[in-house]
Amino acid sequence: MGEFFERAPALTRFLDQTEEEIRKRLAKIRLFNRVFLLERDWMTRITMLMLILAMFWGAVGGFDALGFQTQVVGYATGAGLHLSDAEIYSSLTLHGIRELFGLTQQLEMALFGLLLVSALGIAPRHKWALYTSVGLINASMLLLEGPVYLVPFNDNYFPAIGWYFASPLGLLGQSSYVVSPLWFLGWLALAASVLLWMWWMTTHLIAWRRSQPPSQPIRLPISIWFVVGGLILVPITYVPLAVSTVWDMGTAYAGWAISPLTNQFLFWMFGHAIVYVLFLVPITALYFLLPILARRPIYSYRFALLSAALFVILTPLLSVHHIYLTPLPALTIWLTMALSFAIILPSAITVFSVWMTVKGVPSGQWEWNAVSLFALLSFGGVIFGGLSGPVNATVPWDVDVHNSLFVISHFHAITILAIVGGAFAVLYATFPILTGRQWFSPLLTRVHLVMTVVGGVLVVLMFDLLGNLGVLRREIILPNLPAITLDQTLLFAGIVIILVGQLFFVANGLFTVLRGSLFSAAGLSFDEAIRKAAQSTTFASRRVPIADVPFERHVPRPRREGVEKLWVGAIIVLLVLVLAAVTPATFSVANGDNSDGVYPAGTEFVQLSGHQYYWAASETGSVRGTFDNVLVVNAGQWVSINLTAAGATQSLYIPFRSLPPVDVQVVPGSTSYSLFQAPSVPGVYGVPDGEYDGPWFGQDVSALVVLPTNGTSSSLAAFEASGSEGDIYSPPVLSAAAASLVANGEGVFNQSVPGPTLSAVPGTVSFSWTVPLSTIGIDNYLVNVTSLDPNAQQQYVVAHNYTLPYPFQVDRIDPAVGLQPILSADLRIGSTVTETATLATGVYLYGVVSPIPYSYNPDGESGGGTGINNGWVMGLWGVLWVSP
Amino acid sequence: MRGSAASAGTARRPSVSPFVAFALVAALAIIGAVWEDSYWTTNPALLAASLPTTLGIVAAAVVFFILAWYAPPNE
Repeated sequence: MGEFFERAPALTRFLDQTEEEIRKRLAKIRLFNRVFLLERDWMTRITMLMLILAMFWGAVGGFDALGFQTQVVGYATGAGLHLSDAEIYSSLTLHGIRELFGLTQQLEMALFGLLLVSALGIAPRHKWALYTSVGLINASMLLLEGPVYLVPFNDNYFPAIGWYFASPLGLLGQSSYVVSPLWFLGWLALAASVLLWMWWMTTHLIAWRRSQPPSQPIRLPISIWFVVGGLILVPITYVPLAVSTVWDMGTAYAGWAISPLTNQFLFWMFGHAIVYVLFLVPITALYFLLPILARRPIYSYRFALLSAALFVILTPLLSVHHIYLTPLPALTIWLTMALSFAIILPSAITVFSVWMTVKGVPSGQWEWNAVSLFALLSFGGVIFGGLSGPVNATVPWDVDVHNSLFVISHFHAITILAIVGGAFAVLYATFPILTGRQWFSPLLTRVHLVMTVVGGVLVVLMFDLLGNLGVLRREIILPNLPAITLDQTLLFAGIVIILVGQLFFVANGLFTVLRGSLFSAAGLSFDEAIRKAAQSTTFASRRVPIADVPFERHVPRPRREGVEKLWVGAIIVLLVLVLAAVTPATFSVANGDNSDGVYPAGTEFVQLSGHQYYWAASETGSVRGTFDNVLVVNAGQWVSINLTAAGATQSLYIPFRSLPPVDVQVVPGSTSYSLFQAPSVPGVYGVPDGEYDGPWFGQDVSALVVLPTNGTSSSLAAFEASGSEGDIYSPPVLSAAAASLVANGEGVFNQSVPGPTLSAVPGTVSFSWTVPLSTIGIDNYLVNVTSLDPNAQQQYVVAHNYTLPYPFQVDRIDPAVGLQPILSADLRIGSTVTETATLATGVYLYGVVSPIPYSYNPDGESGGGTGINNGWVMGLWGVLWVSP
Repeated sequence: MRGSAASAGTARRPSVSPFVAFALVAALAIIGAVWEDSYWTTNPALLAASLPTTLGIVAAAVVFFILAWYAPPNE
């Protein structure tokens, strides 16, 4: 492959000439000339292009997050949603993809390439291979966005699928939500880009090694070893991505056999490893910068090397910890937990080594500037984010937090504080070398730093608090609680702060290339050039000299490595102790079939089938019958549930906080199992589907109806006093007589799904409900979308006499047979309806108690080529509780 | 890029040494992480699942600072 890109001289010549023509013309425009460094060598030009494109995707991805959070805060504060659910979720999907790959992966490629070439003094080759890699990664960002309809504009076919894809969600013929084939082509282009870049880097490393005397042992700078580690991880990461993508495409378009669990296992080999591929940015940054800034070598070269090796060895083995709660053998899950603990070791070595590297450096020989301060931020981020990793790694603890925003807190601590911090440290240190200009304004760097820290910490903490409450990731229909509204609003503020902060960086970068003083590294060593670049961001009037001075060791290696050994030994002992302590609980987390077949007396047996977007329940035991989105049990009763799923991975999630939570993943094609004890307090508990399964994920919330012990009656006073055992998804309790149920634009009553639990005393019971015509629109599943005319859905309602063909019912839950109809009438839109019935003590369902078929197909545009958004949605319902 | 030491060290206004600054940030990060964990360990229903790992983190933090104090400087 070595000369592939040079083997077609005519093509290479054509490309060179074309590039030269474009370069010459653009260079006449001063702005382009300066910003894209058009008069510099090709390696510098490509690196600058990658940096600019990375910043572009970072900015677009940032605004995606802002757009999503605008909607979330809008909903939490009662303002409703202004975009369709598909648009909202696609903004979240594209946020993740653009930040992870368009920004971070591309930035890593640019910085690692620059580092390798500069640190080893290599003359770069294979220009068009690198250009192709850059082209592919940016093309992948466009492809992953999906079909773009500009006239008339329609972004409802953008992928609303999560930053990752979990087979079979999105697959034609397998799921009610289907993405365009462009999505899969985008992943393949991404994999091809990074693999090509890996080849390009490896080629240069090999060439460098061949240029060295064969007898000379390899002693690369330690940061370059981490770059090498990243290069080894790239194929381990991206080949499984390509395989799972091709498999998905084969399933969708060629009828290949599907095995979602196996496919997800493969995908997570990528999904997990990519985190460490990108985590190597801050790790490499710290190993690269701190020795230079401290003017002394790393504390222990050999332990740092051990850290790099452990990262490479352990990273590919951890994919299963992303599917802990799926039906896998308990031993497999335990082994993955043990390995997940083990990867703490290289992080611990790194943190200790880089900190000890600066021990003994007097304050007078250390300069605080943007480079050292961002390195400090990254160091803190590695610790802060890293320490929330063991929470997820501990299986019994993961049950409490899996799929909640706690995971997102951990992830953003790593990405914003550690990765972004490390990347900015390297950028501030190398940008002047790249551009030949000193940083324009230290003040702007200071503002950038402060806003990144404040915004980043706020985002991480708010995600953490929301996750503690049990709020699910990707949730837009939020429980209407003051704490959630406050946290979501502060989260929004954090996003705004961090985004505005990045504008100062971009402004400083622009001013630097346009108006910055000239920067010359002539006569300087690479280390001195880095210090000089860093110095252009310092705030102090007196500077620390940048010159290298020979370093002489006073503390022998055995003394330094002795402490490192103690540290590693202590970590190993602690990991073994923690592993031993959590092992029994890990094996008791039963997600497979209950093979022992032994159940507590009086167990309720339930078969739950997960659909997009409801659970179908079939019960035998003291309660019998079939229900949609409702699970009926007696207080304190043991519940044995076998679960299956179709169309997407589903999750039975009951986020109790006063009781142990229930959290089970179920993958299509597999059966999951759960055995838990129902709360002893009768009431209506919220049971959201914990796994994102498509754009109507928010409405996909069931109810666990806990009946009073056989034959007794109970008010909801104890339930309210218990705070529904901490389950924030439990609907609020309202008096039926005083309740005024009003549907919103998401097709749920009073911002809640299920709707409020209405309480009444036996006898004549009345309550009123309204579905305003104004709530019928693109984010409401009650009327299908058949036209791009935004008024078409309301016109449909008017044309059908303000009546939809779905019955509004009141059904009694009869434990002996299931649902018994009490009254039923077609769903009226635009007028207030009062229901009145004589009801005995018992529990009833009200509203549209069966799922409604939904289809998004404006003007026949939906299909395998564009995308499909169908499903069965149920949101306009609730429970009526009648007791003396 | 490998090590080289500076003879610099000219008179400058007092500033915090990098070792102390990194120690403070490490302490802040660890306190933040343990504070996050405290939600789970102070809840009786969630204690059993979270306590061993939290104790492990706290113990590791203590060892971390003791060893860092005890470690010889990078000289």
